[in-house]
Amino acid sequence: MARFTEAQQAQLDALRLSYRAELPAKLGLIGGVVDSLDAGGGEKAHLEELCDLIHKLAGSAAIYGFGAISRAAGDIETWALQALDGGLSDHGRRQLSALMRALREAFSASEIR
Amino acid sequence: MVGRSLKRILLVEDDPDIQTITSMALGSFGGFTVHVCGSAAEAIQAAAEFRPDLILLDVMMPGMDGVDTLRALREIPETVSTPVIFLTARVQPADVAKYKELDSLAVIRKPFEPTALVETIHEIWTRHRGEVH
Repeated sequence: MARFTEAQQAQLDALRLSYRAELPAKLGLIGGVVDSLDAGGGEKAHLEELCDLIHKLAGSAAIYGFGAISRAAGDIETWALQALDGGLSDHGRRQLSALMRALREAFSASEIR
Repeated sequence: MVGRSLKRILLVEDDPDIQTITSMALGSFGGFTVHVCGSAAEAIQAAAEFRPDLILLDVMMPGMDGVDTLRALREIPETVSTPVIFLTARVQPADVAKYKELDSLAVIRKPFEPTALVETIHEIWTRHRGEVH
């Protein structure tokens, strides 16, 4: 791996801090879509929106070095893709609640290395 | 085109967060001149004027995806043979075979490590320069 100057490392750290500071807003958006799913109606559109948001979070979190958040988001993406294929059951909704809890916990536990 | 030195990179990526860290890695760490486009339409518009040495192309984008974007870029005289590296999380063998059929240099799997990206690109570039010469 390439060696970085202190200035470059500081630049990267600042970017990661900035990304982390924006995560509550991203989680809020995702939580809003999950609430809409719970409220019923427009299930397919909400699932597609959830897929899109959570896919982006899974990808960007990993690149910014937040592996646990990325994995938790990836679990929700897998769930959402399955729900898009097979529909949304009560059991599925409970699973989603647990997965969202895990995502929030991953965020709470995250820190800049 | 691969015989040219690598200075100018056109990054086509719709996610602003990934745009930010990737362009920083390429620009600040790699010393490349980077032009960022958030969509296929932007890339098609910018390509002729920017004249990139290399295009980094996200596959999954809303609207026109990376594969169709590449086809469109090949219609533009300035990018008809510009080397392209796909960026994607979809790296199943069938997907990779499709990217190779499109005459891409390589596929960089997402998520990638930004601190290693420049080195990875240099390796790909050097390998293909060797293949061309």
